[in-house]
Amino acid sequence: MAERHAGRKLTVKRWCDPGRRAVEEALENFAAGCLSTDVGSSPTGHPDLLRLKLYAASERLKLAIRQCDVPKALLEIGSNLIGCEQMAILQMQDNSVLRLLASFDLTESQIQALISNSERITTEIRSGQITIIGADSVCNDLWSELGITAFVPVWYRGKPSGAIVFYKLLPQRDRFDASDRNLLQMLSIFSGPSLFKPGLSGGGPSYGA
Amino acid sequence: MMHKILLVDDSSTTLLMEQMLFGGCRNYSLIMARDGHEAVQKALAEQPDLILMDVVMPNMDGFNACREMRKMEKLRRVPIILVTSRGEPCNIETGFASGCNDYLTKPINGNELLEMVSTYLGNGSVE
Repeated sequence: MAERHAGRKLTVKRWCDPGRRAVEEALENFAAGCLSTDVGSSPTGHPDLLRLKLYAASERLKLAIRQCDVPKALLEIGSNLIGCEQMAILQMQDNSVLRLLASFDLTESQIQALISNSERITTEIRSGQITIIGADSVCNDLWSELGITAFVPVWYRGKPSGAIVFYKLLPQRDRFDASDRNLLQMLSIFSGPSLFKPGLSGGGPSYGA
Repeated sequence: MMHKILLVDDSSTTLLMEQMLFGGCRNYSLIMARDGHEAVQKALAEQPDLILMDVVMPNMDGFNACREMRKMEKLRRVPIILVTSRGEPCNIETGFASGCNDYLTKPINGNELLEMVSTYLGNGSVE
C-alpha cells in the first residue's frame, strides 16, 4: 500500500502482532520510568525534555501496536522528535535476506543502494550496534555509500533482526545529539516485537545477501 | 489568570509532548485539534488565548488555517505560533505571510517553546 503524505511517497505494509500485549506492558513500564523524575527538577524549572521525548515516543509506539501502524509511528517519531523524514525500515530474515518493510521519501537510487549493499547491511545488523555517523568513531564506507546519518539495529527475540535507517536530517538540524541516542536505543529495543511478526506474508520486497 | 491554549497537530506524538510540556503549568488549559479545519472551528468556539499549530496536516494545512483565522474578527489578534518540521526559509516566510506571530521548528525545543508561550501569555507557573 502506498500513500501520499504531503506530496512525499510513503510505502508501508499493515499488520498486527498477536503478542502485542506483552510489548504494550513493557512500554507502559518504560513510560512510567520516564515520568518517575519530578517535573521541574531541572535547573530551569522546566520539565526534563529527554524524558518527555522518551515518554511521547513510547506512548506513540504503544498506540501504534493497537492500531497496527508501527512503521508509520516510527516515521512520525523520526519526523517530530528527531527531525528526520527520510527513513527506511529493514527486516533481516533467517537466510540473511533483507526485506524493505517501509520507506519514507527515499529516492530510487537510495533504495538501489540498500539492495546492492544488502549483505554488508545484514552484517551491520548482526553487530547490534547503533551507529550515529560522525559521532561514533567508526570508519565504514558503507555509511557514506548509503548516505545515512544513523543506523539502528532493531532487536527481536534476543537478537538483532532488522534496522531503522535514518537518512538526511531536516535543515534545522545539523547532527544527532545525546538525547537522540537515548531515543534510538528505545526504538531499537521496543519496535522489533511488533515489526517482525513471525510468518509475515507479503510485505516489502526482499533482497538476497 | 488561566490561559487557554489550542494545540493543533495531526501527530499524536507532538500533541502528547506539548501536553506534557504544559502539564506542569497550572495557569494553562489545553484544547486539541487534529487538522486545520478543526482548528478553525475550535478556535471560534473556544476563543483561545494562544494557538500552537502544525503546518503539514490533512484537510487544511496550518498556513491556510492561519489565513482563515486572520480573516475572522474574533481570532485576528490571537497569537499563533506555527510549530513545524518545515524549517526552510521559504516556509518560514510563508508562515509569517499567512499571519502567524512566531515560528518554531521541530523537533520541539521544549525550553524555547515554553519561553515563547510565556512571552505571549505571561509566566505560567510550574508546579
